[in-house]
Formats: sequence, C-alpha cells, structure tokens
Amino acid sequence: MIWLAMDTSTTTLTVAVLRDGELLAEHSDRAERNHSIRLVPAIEEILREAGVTKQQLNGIAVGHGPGSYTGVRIAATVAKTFAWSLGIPLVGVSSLAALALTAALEDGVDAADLYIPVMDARRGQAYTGLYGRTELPDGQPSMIALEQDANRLAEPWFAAMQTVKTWKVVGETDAFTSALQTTNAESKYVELRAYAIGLLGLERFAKGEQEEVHHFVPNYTQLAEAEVNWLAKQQG
Amino acid sequence: MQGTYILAVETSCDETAASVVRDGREVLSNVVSSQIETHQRFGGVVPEVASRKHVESVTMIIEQAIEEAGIKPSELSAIAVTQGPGLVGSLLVGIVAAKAMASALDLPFIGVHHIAGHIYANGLDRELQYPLVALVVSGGHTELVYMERADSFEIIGQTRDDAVGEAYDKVARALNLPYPGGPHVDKLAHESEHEVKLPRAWLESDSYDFSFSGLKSAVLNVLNQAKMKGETVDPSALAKGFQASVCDVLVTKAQRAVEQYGAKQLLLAGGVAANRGLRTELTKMCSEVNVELVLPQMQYCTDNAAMIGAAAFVKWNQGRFSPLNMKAEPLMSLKSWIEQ
Ligand SMILES: [Zn+2]
Repeated sequence: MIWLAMDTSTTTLTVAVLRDGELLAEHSDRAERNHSIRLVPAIEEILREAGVTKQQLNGIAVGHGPGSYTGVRIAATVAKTFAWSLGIPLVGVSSLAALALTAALEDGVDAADLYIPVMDARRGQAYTGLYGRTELPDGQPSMIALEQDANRLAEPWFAAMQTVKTWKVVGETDAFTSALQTTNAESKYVELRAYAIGLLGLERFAKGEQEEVHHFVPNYTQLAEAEVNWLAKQQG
Repeated sequence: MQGTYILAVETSCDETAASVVRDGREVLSNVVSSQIETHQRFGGVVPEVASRKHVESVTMIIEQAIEEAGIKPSELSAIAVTQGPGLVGSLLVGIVAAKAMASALDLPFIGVHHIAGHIYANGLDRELQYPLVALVVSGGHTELVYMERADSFEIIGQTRDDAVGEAYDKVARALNLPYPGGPHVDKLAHESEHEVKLPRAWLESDSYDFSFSGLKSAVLNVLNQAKMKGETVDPSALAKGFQASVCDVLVTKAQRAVEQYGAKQLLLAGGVAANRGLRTELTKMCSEVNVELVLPQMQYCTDNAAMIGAAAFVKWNQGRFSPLNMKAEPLMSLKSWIEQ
C-alpha cells in the first residue's frame, strides 16, 4: 500500500510517501507562505525521489486543518482533485493530531501522555486541541482526540488545563511564550510532518474509513466572519 | 480521437465552472455552479465564503463537465484554468485543482487571462476577423481592447474609477433593487417612458477612458434632493436616465475606436454584455457605420469555463504552456498574459 501524504495548514509545506507504515521519502520546507505555488511541484518531486509513479499510489492522506484558511484549502483541494483524478481513496486527518504525533515521534520513549498542539491563530488565539497518546497493536504511537480542535484564546485554555496533571504544549510554541509562562507545562517547538499525516491516514483507512471525495472540505473550525456577523444580525 | 480537447476551470469570483472545449471552438460541456444565492444575503460577494464554496464543488463540477462531454479524462489534451484577474482566494482553488489534475494525468497546463476568455468567447460560434475592437464590460472591468491579431492585445481605454457593472450594482442598491442589481436596472429602464436626464462623463476629447463614479453620484443626488423636498422619484425614470448615460458613453467611444482602428468587427464581452439596452444601442450604431457587431451568446456573457477553454487554445496553438508553479495573478494584465 503506497500512500501520498500532505499538509499546508501551517507555514510548513510538507509532503511524504509511505509504504504501509514505512517512510519512503519526505520533504518539508517553510521558506515562504507560497504553498499554492510549491505544493504540486513538491508532490512531483517527492514521488520521483521515492521512485513511485502516480499510478502506483493507493491512497492520499491530507491534513484537513485547522490552520490558515488559505493553507487548509490548498492541501484539501489538491488532495481531493488528485484522489479523484487517479480514482483512489482519500482520507482527511486533523492537522493538530498530526502535530501532536510529530512531537510524540520525536519524543520517543520520553513521550508525554497528553499533548496540546498549538498553531498561531493571531491575537493571542490558537488553533488547538487536547490529545492523548496511545499505542497501536504494532507498537506505533497514535493520538486520540480528548477535546475538539478549535480556535481558542491561548491563556485561558492553558489555565483550564492546569487541573490536568502533566501535559505538553507542542507546535508553534514560539507564538505563545508569554501565555506559556503562566503555566508549568513543558513545551516544545515542533514543525508538522507529512509522515504523521500519513500514519494517521493509514490508521483511519485500516478501520475502513475514507472521505466522500466530492464533498470533502477542510475543518475551518469556525464560520467565515461575514457569516458570523450575518447570524448575529438575524438574532437582533 | 481527432482534435484538441481542453478541460477548462474557472473560479475567479463566485461561479465554480468547468467545460470541455474541442479545438477552441466546439463547446462539448459548459457547467456553471453559481453562488448567487449564497451571497445574496450579504448584498455582495464575500471572498472567504466564495473560496469555501469553490472547494466544496470544484471536483464535482469538473466530473460533470467531463461526463457531459462524453469523454474520458485520459482523452483530454490539456488542463486550463483562470490565472487572473479575480479574487485571489477564489482563483487559488481553481488553480491548485487544475494543477493537481494536470499532474495526476500528466497533461500540459495552461493559465488563462479571465478577460481574454470573455473576448475569445465571441469566437466560440463564429470566425473572429482581425483587426477588431472589443468592448469589455463587467462587474470588474470596463475596457476597450484593440486586437490586431488573435494573439495581440492593446488596451486603448479603461475605467478610471468604477467598472460599469459596479456602477449598475451601486445604483441598484440605491434604488433598493435586489442583488445582483444590473439586470433589474436594465428591466426598469425598459419599462419607463420617462427619463431623468443625467450627465455624461466624456473625459478628454481624444480619450477612450471611462469614468462612472460621477454618474453614480448624480443618481444619489437626485434621490437625496427629492427626499429632502419630501418628493418621490420614479425609480424607472431614474434607471432609464442612468442606462441612457452609460450606453451613450460606451457606444460613442466604441464607435470612435472602431473607426480610428479600422476594425472589421466590434466584440461585446463580459457580464454586462447581457444588458439589453446596450445591445440595442450597439446594434444600431454598428449598422450605421457598417461594422459587424459580435454579441456573445447569453450563456457566455456571465463567467463560464468554455471561454477559458477557447482562450487556452490560442496558447495551445503557440505551444506555450504554464509551469506547475504558476502563481495566481489577481491583478493580471492582458499584455503580460499574452507575452508569458
Ligand atoms: Zn468575468
């Protein structure tokens, strides 16, 4: 089973090719926010590097967000169009879960039990969730969502977590240095890896889950501002 | 299979569209999914909402276009997409979808200028004859374009402020007409026997440029003054006056351009090309000066992908394709496109 994995929800553009659980090739860069320019060429390059043709692909895993609206749209659109064009399955996974898994893979034996992945959503806000580390039958680490992915104010979110014993904040931690100082949590800057997207995608697919390609959309976690305003006006 | 089959995608604003065009002429399918109902409640297109809608429907619309054309994806010759101008978020969805498809199917990729598409749409059902002049009128554009050949563009005049379609929408809003307002103003103008006289903005005597913001202000003035005096204005007479002023300026400048450039044809292009008042006046003028007027079929006036397929064929013929790292160009000029 050869799968292509991708994510553009953060400033990092990341693509990977996996055979079963094994990583064949991976490329990540955070040169600039030009994912719409780079993503398709990066896919072509990574397939070449892995020595895999498009026709050999068995499926596509994509980070469905949350994250930058434009960013999550780019990977979601490329992934669904690729999957539809090739007639292969598509699986979307949480980009935050993948961020947490990236950290756990890095942490290895020192991995924490609870991870709080964070992405900068500006003005003290974070795209974030709460994930519990678990182990798959083959010994690979995985993540279970304990709280929904959402856009939250970082400081009160961290404060509420203080009741939980040990937790680790991972991801774009550099955007939350002052909020993190109010806690005693461990934190670590981590860049999302498509490898983690691929692992989570394969796990979902093994459970018999996949997307209805035409209807696949990113998880923005919130309505567009104009819709929020319109709804508020309706309620007077 | 004989011929060149181009699948074209267009998402520059609020329509998700896909089409298969054979040899730049024969439209095998033309699927347009309009978001008008979605944006109506906001009174205009909301870019973030439009972008989200495009993601929702893009592959479905492409699949429908291919199925209706009765071909297999493997029989396509190239994938084309609108590169600009337009709303950047909307453009990006169509662009990355088209790139992904070109990559997955190993097909050439062609970026297309949206306005070039509107212009070449006139060639979908007849032979274009050069040199020609095109009058491009839409919600975002008001331009007079001189084309000496199929692959040359010279902008000889453009709006200095509002586009025609924009002026129509603003006047429609002032008259409390539903969004999008253009067709309603056109309809009202036709129903009226009276006309509120409004000024015309001719600018310098040799200029082909346009200005519509003064006219829009004149309409608002009439409404405000009537309100202050406690009078009511007949909205249809005001619509008629507005439409008369717009048409007078567009038709007169188009006539001068056609005569000065010795054009064989005058092309009307863009969303406002559906305006009945403008079509009537242009028809009258062209028969007087003995120039062929080319009006697009109604389904090719508003945004569609068949026109993008028609324009892409010009690039196909030149063997000029776009790289998969092509950028969206929200402010792209016609000249930079034809030269790229
Ligand atoms: Zn248009």
